[in-house]
Amino acid sequence: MDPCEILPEELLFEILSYLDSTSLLKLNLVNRAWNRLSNNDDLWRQIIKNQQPEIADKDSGWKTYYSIYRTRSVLTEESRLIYNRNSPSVGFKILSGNTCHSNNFPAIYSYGYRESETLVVIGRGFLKEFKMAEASLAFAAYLNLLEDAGYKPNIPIKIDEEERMEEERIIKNNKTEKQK
Amino acid sequence: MTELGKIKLVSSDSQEFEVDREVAAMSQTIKNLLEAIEDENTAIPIENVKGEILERVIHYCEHHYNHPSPKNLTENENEYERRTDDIEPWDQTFCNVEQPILFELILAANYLDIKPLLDVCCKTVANLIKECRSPEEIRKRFKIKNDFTKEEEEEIRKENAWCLDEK
Repeated sequence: MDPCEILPEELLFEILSYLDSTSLLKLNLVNRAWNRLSNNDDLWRQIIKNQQPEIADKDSGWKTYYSIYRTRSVLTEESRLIYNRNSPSVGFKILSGNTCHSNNFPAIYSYGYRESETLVVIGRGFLKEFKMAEASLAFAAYLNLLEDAGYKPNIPIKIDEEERMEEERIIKNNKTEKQK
Repeated sequence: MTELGKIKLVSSDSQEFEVDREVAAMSQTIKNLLEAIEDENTAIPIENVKGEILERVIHYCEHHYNHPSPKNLTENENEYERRTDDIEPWDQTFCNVEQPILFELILAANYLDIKPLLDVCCKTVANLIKECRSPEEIRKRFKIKNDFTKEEEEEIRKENAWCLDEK
């Protein structure tokens, strides 16, 4: 008997809250109703929180986040280095395409579209002693990761040259101030 | 007249059950009702629950009233961890029923607000899902109709490709 036909949604979620990611992904493929239920962001939030209780709360994107978290094993040496330097938390809002802050991806300050298709990435290098180049590298690795994970962001990356100069200027200033 | 310390519950199909007041009060819903009514002899209608199910619920409450579960001392674990492998043997047997009855028990436990019963039934359904090795097996077990087109199914498989190495 299909539980969907007899139980109200709140109780279906009560049941689903006991499932692991493997079972939720199986439910993804059962039918439309179960697909919708098993993609519920709160369920994925709980799965991630179970593994990383200290992770900061987000509005959305937990399933995507989990897929990235799970795919860490396919990272190249270079990007693994970046991963290890920071927390395994990465910005996941990229899929939404809007300008937004990505506080959990320390190398990236913000990103968004400028001039239609060009993605602009602004790094937060001076805070974590990341240079802009590293930030863009990290971001590129992140996009590759999404692609490896089956997502097709298909966004050409271009670092905004003016932003980069400004960034380097700030880093320099910070260093000179420290030396004083 | 009901015996001292007992109350009468009436199911949706008019079956009557005499239950210890304290046992019945394991249901938060009934407990609240009992506080509201003055006459001890008033029969309490449980409108959403059939006799067959109410009888099982009472059986559950009586057992657990007489055999209180030892408080879990390792409670301070990760609050997000939701285990399903911690169902007591008695509860396992209790929940080993046909699916329609199990679902009715969930509805009744929710309506009557008996948290441990709700938890144990939901865990049992979760385990039934967990035991399935494939989406197809889940469909078979719960007689769920697949309304995906081949293309849609393929699309989801692709989307979830990142977990393929998972056992």
